[in-house]
Formats: sequence, structure tokens, C-alpha cells
Amino acid sequence: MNLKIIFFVALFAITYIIVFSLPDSTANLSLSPEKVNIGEWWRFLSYPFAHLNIVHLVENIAGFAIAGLLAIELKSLFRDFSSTYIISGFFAILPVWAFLHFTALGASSAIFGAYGLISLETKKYNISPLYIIPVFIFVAFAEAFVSYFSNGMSQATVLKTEQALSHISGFIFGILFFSLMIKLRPFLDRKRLHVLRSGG
Amino acid sequence: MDTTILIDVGIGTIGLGALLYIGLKKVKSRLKRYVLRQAAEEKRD
Repeated sequence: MNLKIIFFVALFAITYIIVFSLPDSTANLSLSPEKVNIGEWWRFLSYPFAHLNIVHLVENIAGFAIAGLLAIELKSLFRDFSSTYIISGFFAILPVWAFLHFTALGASSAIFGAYGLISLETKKYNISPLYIIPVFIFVAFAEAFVSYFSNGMSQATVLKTEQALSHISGFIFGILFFSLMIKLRPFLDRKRLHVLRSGG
Repeated sequence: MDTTILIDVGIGTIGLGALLYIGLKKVKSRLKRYVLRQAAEEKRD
């Protein structure tokens, strides 16, 4: 049992709850293009911690907890899971946000980044990521499909599509970042060994 | 006024994650049973 991953998930869940309980957290912390344009740059660091309502908060904590359980079952390294989650949370949405200019808040691009890592980690049990990745992409777009077939190309459909693109951005970012971590692993391990040896 | 996108994972993703977790548990228990059976057969031989 990887206690570090459990502690990491619990720490972030508690942080999300504390931030949610702060007054006007959504207005003060979300990534709004208008606010960023007037110099409120801290929003790039604060938006993954902001949640609009209790459903939004509970869904994200549940999704994150399941990602943590999967990472433990797949024997993922703590450093891979934590770094993929944090880096995806801050950076994954930015390409979509820069093009579409919407106000973003919530942790799900980080959570989808963690699912990106998990979809690659399934290789450990001879489950091909090629089965897992398309299913996640389909599920991410499912709400947009449902909205399109029930309402046509309405405002709701556009919102759901933008939301799906944000999720896919997190998912792909997680896959790419974790792939990079795997490639850099020999170099990082060698460096750590060098530091340990020189310390001894 | 720009639009606001709630970045929440959604019920579908939570369900998929839960299914993946259950599936993984099954794969692991089958692998464990297989390894134990192989070990028992080797011991018998």
C-alpha cells in the first residue's frame, strides 16, 4: 500500500474543501481572461483549487480518489503520480484556454492528467493503453454528444464541448508528461545515485 | 463577459475509473491464482 499517494490525495482533498469554504473563492481564484489582463497573475496558480458548488467539489474529489486508488493498484511511483497531477493541473488547460478565452476553475484537468498516467501504467498488467485511451476520450466527449443530439448546436453544447476539450487536454498532457518522465528516469536515477554517493 | 467552464470530471469518468479499478482487481486476482496454481503444479512434479 503506497501511503504517500493516500496522503497526497487526502492533502489535496482537504485543501480543495478549505479553499471552497473561503468566501468568494470562485470570484477571486478562477482563471478569468479579463482578470488576468488586468494583472491578476496569481490566478494561474489558484484556479485548480477553486470549485463553484458542492457537486463540482464532490465529483472532483471522487474522481481524484479513484485515480489515487488506481495508481496504488498499478504500483505507480509516488513521484510520477504527484508530479503528473500537479504539472497537469497548472499547465494542461492553458493551450485550450489561450485559444477559447473562457473562465476556468476546478481540478479536473489535473485529474485527467492522472488518468493519462494510469492509462499508460496498465501496460504493467498486459492491458494495452490503446483500449483504455479511446474509452476515456469517448467518455470525456459523452456529455457534449448528448447535448448536441438533444439541443443541437446550442450554447450548452458549445460549453460541454469546451469542457471536453479541457479534459482531453489534461488527459493528453498527462500521457505526454508521464512518457517524458519514463524517458528521463534513467537520467534522474543516475543523478540521484551520484548525489547519494557524493553525500556518503 | 466570457463563459465559465467548470472543470469537473463528471459522473461518466468517475464510473469509468471505478470500472477500471474493479477490472484491475479481477485481473490481479486471476494472475495471483494462476501463479499459485503454477507453483503448486511445479511442486507436485
